Amino acid sequence: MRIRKPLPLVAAFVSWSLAASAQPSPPSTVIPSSKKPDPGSLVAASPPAQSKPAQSKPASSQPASPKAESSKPAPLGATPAKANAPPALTAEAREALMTTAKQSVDSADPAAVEQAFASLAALGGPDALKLVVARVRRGLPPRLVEPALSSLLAFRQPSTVPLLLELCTHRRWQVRQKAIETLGALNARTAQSSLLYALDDPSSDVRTAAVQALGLVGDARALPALTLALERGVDGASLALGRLGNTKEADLLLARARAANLVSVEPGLHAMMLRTNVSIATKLHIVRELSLLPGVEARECLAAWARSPGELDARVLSALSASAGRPVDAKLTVSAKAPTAVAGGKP
Amino acid sequence: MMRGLLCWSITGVLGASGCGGSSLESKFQKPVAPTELNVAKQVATASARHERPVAVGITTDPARLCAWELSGGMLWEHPIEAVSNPLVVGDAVVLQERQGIVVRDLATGEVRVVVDDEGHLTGADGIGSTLVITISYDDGDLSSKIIRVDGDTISWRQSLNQPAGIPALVGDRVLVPWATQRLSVLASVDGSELARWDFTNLTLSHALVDRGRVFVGEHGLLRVEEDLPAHREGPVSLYAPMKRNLPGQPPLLRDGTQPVPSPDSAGNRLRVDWRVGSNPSAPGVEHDLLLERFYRVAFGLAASTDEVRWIRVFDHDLIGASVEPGGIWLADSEGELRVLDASGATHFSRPLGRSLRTLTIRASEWLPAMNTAATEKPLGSMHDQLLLAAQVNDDRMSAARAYAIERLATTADPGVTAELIALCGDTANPEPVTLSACTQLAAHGKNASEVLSSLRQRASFLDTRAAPPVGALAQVAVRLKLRPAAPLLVSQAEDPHTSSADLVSVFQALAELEHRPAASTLERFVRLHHAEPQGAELGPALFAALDALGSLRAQSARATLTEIAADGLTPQGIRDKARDIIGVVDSPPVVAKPTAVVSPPPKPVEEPEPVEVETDPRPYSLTQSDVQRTLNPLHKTLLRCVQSDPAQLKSARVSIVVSGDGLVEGTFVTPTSVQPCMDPILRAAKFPSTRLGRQHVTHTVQVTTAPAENAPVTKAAVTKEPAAKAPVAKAPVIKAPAVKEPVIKAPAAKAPASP
Repeated sequence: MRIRKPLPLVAAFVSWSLAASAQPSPPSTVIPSSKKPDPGSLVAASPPAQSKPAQSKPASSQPASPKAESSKPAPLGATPAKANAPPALTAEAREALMTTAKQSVDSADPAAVEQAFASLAALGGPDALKLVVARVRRGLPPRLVEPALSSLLAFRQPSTVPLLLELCTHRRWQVRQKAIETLGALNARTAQSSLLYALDDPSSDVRTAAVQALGLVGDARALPALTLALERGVDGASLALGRLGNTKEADLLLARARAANLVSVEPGLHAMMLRTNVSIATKLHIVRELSLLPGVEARECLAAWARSPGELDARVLSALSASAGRPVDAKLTVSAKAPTAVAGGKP
Repeated sequence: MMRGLLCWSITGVLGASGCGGSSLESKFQKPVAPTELNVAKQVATASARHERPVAVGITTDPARLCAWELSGGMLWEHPIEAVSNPLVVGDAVVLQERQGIVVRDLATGEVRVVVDDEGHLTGADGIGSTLVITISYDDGDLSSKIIRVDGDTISWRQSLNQPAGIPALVGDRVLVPWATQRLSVLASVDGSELARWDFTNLTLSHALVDRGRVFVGEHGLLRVEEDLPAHREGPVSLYAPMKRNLPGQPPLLRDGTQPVPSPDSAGNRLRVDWRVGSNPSAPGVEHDLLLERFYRVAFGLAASTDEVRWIRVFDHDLIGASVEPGGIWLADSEGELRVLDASGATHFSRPLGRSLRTLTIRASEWLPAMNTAATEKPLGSMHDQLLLAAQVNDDRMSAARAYAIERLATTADPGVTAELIALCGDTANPEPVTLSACTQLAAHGKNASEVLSSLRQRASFLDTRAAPPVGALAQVAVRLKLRPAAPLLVSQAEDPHTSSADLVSVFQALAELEHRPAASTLERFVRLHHAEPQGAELGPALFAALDALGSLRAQSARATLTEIAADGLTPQGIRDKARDIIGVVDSPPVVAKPTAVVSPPPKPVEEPEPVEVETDPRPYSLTQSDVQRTLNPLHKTLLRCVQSDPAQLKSARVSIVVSGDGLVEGTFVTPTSVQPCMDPILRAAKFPSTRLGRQHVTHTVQVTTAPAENAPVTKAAVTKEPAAKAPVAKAPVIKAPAVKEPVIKAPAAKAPASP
């Protein structure tokens, strides 16, 4: 297929969009080295510089201290940070770019298709989105799935959800994982059933992605499954419970903390501490229970929470500091009033 | 050869001392006396032996050689560095030790004489203190020696430039099988060769005396009678259990030209035990029993039919056995010695008090006073025994478990389908076990409700529930025409727990069951995955899905198929296939032939083809027809080899070792005179690849004198196949001139009837 030569402004735009798309965009797909890539694996499409989001690391490896900061709720759904703004386009230039992208997206050259996805994401607009959705729906080689999903994410349109749900049934776990991450990033609340289904996925990466996505888009209905996922050791389940749960889930996490498993549940407890729709009583209960735990881990954990940025009620902060054995940090922002707790509510 | 020369030179020096050596000449000059007929007569019968019933074994760490009187207690024990199993012959124990081949006194265990310190012990026989021992050497010439020992003295040595087998002492004659096809008779007094017979129809590496009768052979035993020289060519009748596919494929008799196995050899724990029957009026195998020991499991098999009579699973490996007219001695590695009856029930047991690596039992027909009531019995019904063996949790037992599963599948028990589903779906099982269970499930599963129930089960990580064996269940559903299974199969097809390999069977089943609602699932599958690169795991499933769309005439998928056919990012093979399927979808469905209505022929009850789990497109093993198909193009050239042999052969039997990828690894042709001609032809053959791996197949090329066509009559047998399918060995043991193995048939008998 012959591709029309772009205008100078168009060329500048294309280089900008490619550069932007080359930046790491969370959530990213990282294939564990233990998994052998098969022909056409997504590995080929993953830039080596990309790294796994902090919350997808095994919870057991996370410290329960100031270092546990890395296990804080990750900025899922954040759009790629762009170094600079796109060049302003005239209507003519945009039209030229659209025409070029339209041709490229159907090209037999994978590089051209990838470039087209980047350009269309940068162009934005319903016509560009339609092109991307149609192309992804027709089926892509594995190595083009990740650029395609990154492109879809950039549009941040709920209309892409059906396509993403379809990709959740893909035979490649990498595609399922990426689709689920994208659903989470798009805050697709209608995807909860599919995400709950994905908790049973044979791939641990997909299960982890599902747990994380449920933590973002799920509601109280997901709590029993997430509790089970926590028992089965699914990474990120504690964080998701912390984001969705309430007193009952706090007790569950505290019970595990008492069973010498504080490291694995600390992200969940911390998430609860940061939520505004969890009651002060529950938060104080968490602080009290943790302060009763033997060993230095719990005290380090409380101290780290007291130091960490975020809105904390004065009473909670005071309790934290007291439990951690250090004075209240004046630099912390303290909310004067605690809202009413809502079960399964969002932060 | 050097050794032969050395022996000749030693003979000159030591000849007078009685410890001389000589060599069997490559060309045999018949002596004037005794005549060949007389020699045959002399070796046809042996006087009965009255031997002490004993068991001699080697213990585990620390290694000790121990002997027990079967009718009493322990005789003795000595520290030992054993290299071979002990042989109990005459009043001696012969075995290879670190210092050489040692003869020990059976009564005391003391060393009588070290007969050789270079070679390997291959066999021995003896009467009282007179022993004959064969030894092989690793000198590249395959040379060997026969030694006579009297008490602690070596009387003579005979050298051979060919491998010698296990000798037999018959009166004052020594029978020595050698060079796999020769039998020499030596004078026991000086080792001089009195007769030599070359057999073109028999493999020889064993000579043995059993209750006054003398036998030779390897793949079966030929009774030595006065007319032995007349049996060197043409049909021979062998005493042997029916040949069949057995787990681990143990030989009927070990290769007698090879060294006696070491105490830790797997051959001590994986072997068959049988004996020629004692009833002269009804010749056959003792108790009509072929006992296979497979580590902890004993299979009691009928010798004359392909039938399992009983199975016993023990706690410890079985390391010794002896078949006697009154029962079967069986010893395990913890030193428990049992006597079983022919139905597998234990009537006597006794602890030997030592953990054993190997035990040689010479019961000499002696049996203890046994309990009339069995103390241990095979468990329940045959179905229960097979299921128990199929479920033994022991990594070494895969082949035995697979064999038990094959047998289990053919039982009439209604619960078999559920048991096969469980065995097939248990991912903790070793692959051969799973493969066997899934294959048998696909071929024999018959309980529809069990199939549906299993298909309803969904794998769940959170509920720790495994996926059912969807591929095999799909094949059963097709065989049973189980339409209610179709929606469940659709559901399983969408489950990521269903393996890509199983998807092939699922899609094929959906097409076979004509489940049109599956079209949308199939369409989505091909749409999402058609651009998978060449060689991807999903390739076979993609083709199967496209075929299914065609079978279902899925017009709704036409647009998708058109897009795939035009998609430049899709591999060409898939695009071409999509194009073909568009043609199929557009074509009108095939109307049933009216003839079927006019004269509805009774649908033949077809033997279901060996349905396999399509986890791998290769067949599990070579079948008889595979062998025939592969060798058919070579018949003419093979036939020329047979016809051009100066011996005017009527047939030749070929044993071929085929690798897993279908290449011929080795051949053995009987008679060997045609081996040089046939070998290069056979090596060019390419069999289908199999999942089973290395296999032995046999093939017979027969010359027919039918005037209409001079085509060879060929018979193929595959060791994996049930023996009933094999052309050889229909009737195993009966000494009749009909069908025996190996049997070279009279040509007229096989000639096709003229029109």
